[in-house]
Amino acid sequence: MIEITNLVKRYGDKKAVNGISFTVQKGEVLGFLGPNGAGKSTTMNIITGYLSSTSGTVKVNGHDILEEPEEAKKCIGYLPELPPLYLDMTVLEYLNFMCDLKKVPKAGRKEMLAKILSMVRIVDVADRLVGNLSKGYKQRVGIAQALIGDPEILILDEPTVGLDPNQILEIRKLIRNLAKDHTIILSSHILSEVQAVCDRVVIINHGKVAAIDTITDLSKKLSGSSKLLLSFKGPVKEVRNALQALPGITGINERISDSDIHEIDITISNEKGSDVRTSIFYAMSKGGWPILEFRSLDPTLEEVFLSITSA
Amino acid sequence: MFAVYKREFFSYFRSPVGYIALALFSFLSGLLFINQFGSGAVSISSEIISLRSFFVVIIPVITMGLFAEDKKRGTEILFYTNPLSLFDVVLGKFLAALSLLGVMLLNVIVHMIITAVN
Repeated sequence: MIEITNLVKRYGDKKAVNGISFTVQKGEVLGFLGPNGAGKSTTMNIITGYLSSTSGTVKVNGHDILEEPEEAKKCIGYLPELPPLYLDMTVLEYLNFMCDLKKVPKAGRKEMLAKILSMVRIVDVADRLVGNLSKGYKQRVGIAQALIGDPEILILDEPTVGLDPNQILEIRKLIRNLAKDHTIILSSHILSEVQAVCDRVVIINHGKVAAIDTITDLSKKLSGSSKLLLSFKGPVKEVRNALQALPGITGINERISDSDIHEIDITISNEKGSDVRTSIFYAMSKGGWPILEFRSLDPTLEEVFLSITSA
Repeated sequence: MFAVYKREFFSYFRSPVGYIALALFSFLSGLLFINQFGSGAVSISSEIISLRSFFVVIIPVITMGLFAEDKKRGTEILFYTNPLSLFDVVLGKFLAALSLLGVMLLNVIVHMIITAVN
């Protein structure tokens, strides 16, 4: 559990971080979003103890990072923006060095390292010099380093940068697995990734918190209500009547009509527990009108992000 | 602290630095030692005194990269975000450099043994 209160980091006249406060609950996966230069990496560096804040407090599991640094840092595994790798060591030598640094007991170290190597899929490069690895492998060694000692809290700054799409999926799967019993702060520019993995999202802009909410709530707040798009073949009027009769539908707008293919916007109420989509499907099926396309028009995280950060 | 010490010491031998320092020192001290044979009396202390200027060059070569390299590589963040004190870091690096110097001075000890035996 991490508590950040009124964090400020000033560089001369410029405030890189200007009053950021939020809390990460135990077991939560928090997405940390923001344009470049917003203050994400600075905030992460302050949380992990690399930088000291100009003012404000950071408490990790109740330990203030400035007053009890060793206890706080013991709980955290950190992957910084630039993975801190020693290029002149082999992967195993480097990970063993990290075990020493994090004071991992010698007993059971071999098994733990074997487990981490297979989790991050770097088993076949374990004996190669880190300096000789490709960027993707280097990044994964960086992720492995954060996992050493099985820290309760993981802070990952753009963990999938430099990875190819296959590797990105693997790491995403890994993070989802880790999320079950770890607290994770994940900073990323890949919004689909954040959408797939995170419970809540903090959007930072110009050193301040611009939004902090679950993704669905953010989308809803932005659009005002939930909307679906339905493209079908059939008589518009009859479909309209059939659908309007369904509970939970508050409005239908016609978009495009092209001979017998029509596209309509369906506005639905945000009542929990009513999945209007199934009733729409059955209504269409009953009327014999083929559904060509059926999707949500709720703002994607990308749209939310753009609208919040371009203001 | 041991982690840092072990790593820094072995890193001297993962790059040319350690080997070059050792080779140069062995060569120079050996030369200074052997050159005294003709005069009948061999003085180890004069050998060490003559090595002064070499030390002025070689010690900075050994030690100047200790923190600068970490800063350049981006690995100094490891010292700030892990549960160890900066004192441990400084001590570890210092002892690593000192150990390399110790290895170099083994040459002189060999010279002393040779002198003592004869």
